[in-house]
Amino acid sequence: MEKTYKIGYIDENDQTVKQFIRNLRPYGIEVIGYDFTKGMTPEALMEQVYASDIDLLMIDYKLAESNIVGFDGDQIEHLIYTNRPQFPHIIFTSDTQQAENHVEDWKIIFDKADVLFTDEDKDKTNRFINMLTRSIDQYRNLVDSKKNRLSALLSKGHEAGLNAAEKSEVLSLQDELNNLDSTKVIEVPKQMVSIENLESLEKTRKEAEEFLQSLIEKAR
Amino acid sequence: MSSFSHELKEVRNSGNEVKSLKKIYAKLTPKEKDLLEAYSDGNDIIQQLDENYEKIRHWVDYSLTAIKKDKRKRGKLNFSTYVGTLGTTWAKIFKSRDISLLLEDNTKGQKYSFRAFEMDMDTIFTNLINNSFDSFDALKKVQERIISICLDIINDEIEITYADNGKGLSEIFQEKEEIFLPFTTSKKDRKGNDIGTGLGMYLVKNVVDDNNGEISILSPPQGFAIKLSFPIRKN
Repeated sequence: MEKTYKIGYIDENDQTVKQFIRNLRPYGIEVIGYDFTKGMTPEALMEQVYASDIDLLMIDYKLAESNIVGFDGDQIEHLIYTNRPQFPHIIFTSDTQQAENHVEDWKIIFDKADVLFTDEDKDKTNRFINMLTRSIDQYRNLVDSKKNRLSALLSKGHEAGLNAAEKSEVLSLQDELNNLDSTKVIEVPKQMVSIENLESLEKTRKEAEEFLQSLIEKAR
Repeated sequence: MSSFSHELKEVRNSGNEVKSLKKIYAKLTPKEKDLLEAYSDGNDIIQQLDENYEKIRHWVDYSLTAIKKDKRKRGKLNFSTYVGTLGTTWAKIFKSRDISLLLEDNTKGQKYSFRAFEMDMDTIFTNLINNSFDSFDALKKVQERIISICLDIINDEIEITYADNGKGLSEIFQEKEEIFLPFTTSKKDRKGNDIGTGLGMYLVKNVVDDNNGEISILSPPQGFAIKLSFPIRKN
C-alpha cells in the first residue's frame, strides 16, 4: 500500500517507536521517531518535530521517568497546542489515568492497551487508524481550502484587482493561516499577499498600459 | 496470588526461551532483498521481547517473593541482609529510572537480635521508594538521582536513615509530622485535586509503631530524609 500519511511519535524508548513503525506500516502510515539527548529541552525536541514535516503527532505521556528529559507529554502537548492549535495530535500512553490528571483535553488521550494490532483486536485497531487518518484529512482539508481561496484571490488581484471585501478576505485568510502554524513561514510568502503589494502591482500595470497607449498614440 | 504462583514460575522460566530464539534467528539471514525489511522487523521484535522479558522476570520474582510464607512469620531479621536483598529486588526499576542506590552499612560485625515480620519492612520500604519515585518525577528536571540507606547501631537501637535527593517534603505540610496523617497527600492533578491515597506514610508510621520503633522526618539540605529506629537486643 502506498504511504500517504506521516506520523511523528515522541517516545524516549526507541523499541516502542519501532513497534509502532511496524504496526502502522501496513495501513500506509509512516511513523518516525525523534532523538532524545540527556537534558534536552522540550523546545529542542519540538524543533525536530517541526522540521520533520509530519501530518500528526503522537505523544507518549511518561517521558521524564527515565531521567533523559525533565518533562512529560503534557508539556509537549501544551507547546503544540500553543504553536499549532489545530494540528492533529494525540497523547498515546500506557497510563491514561496519569495523563488525565495533567492533560486538559481528554479527547486526545488514547490507551496503548486498546490498540494491540492483533487479529482479535481488528475492530479497535481499525477505529484507531480511522481516527488518525480522518484527523489528518480534516486538517489537510482545512489548510487546503484556505490556501486555495487565498490563491484564487491573489490571482484575481494580480490580473484585475480586488474590491474592498476581497482585500479584507485576503488579510483574514492570511491571519488564519498564520494562526494555524506560528512555527514556520507560511507557504504563501507574506509580502506576496500584502494589500500594499497587490495595489502597487495594480498601479504599475495601469501605468504600463497608459505608457504603452501613449507610445501607440505618438506613433500614429 | 499464591494460587497461580506455579503458573507465574512457568512464565518466568519459559520466557527465557526468547534468548534461544535470538540465536536461531541470527542464523537465518535472508538472501532476498524483499525479505530484508521483514527480517529487520523480526530482529527488532526479538530485541523488544528480550528486554520486556527482563521486566516480566523482575516483577514475577518480586511478586513471588512478596507472597513467601516466611515474610508473614515473625522472625529474626538482619537489616544488612534485608537491605541487600532490597537493592537486588529493585535493581531493574532503579536502572530504568536512572536511580543509584547507595547502601552504607555500619552494623557489619555487630551481633544483635531484632524480631519482626519481613512483610512489615516491605511495607515501609516500598512506600518510601515509591514516594522517592514520585519526588524525582515531580522535580521535572534531569539530575543525578540518588536513594541512600544507612544502617547504624546506636546504643540499644538500630537506626535506619533513608534519604533521596528528590523534591523534598511538600510545602503543603506545615508541620513535618502531618505527613503521617491518613488521607493527607501532596500528589495533586493540574486542578489541585488529590490524586494520591494519602495512606502511604500513615502505614509506614503504623508499622514502625507496631514494632516499638520511632520515626522522625529529617531536614536535609536537598530532598527528603527519614530516620527509623527499632530496639534491638545485643548478643
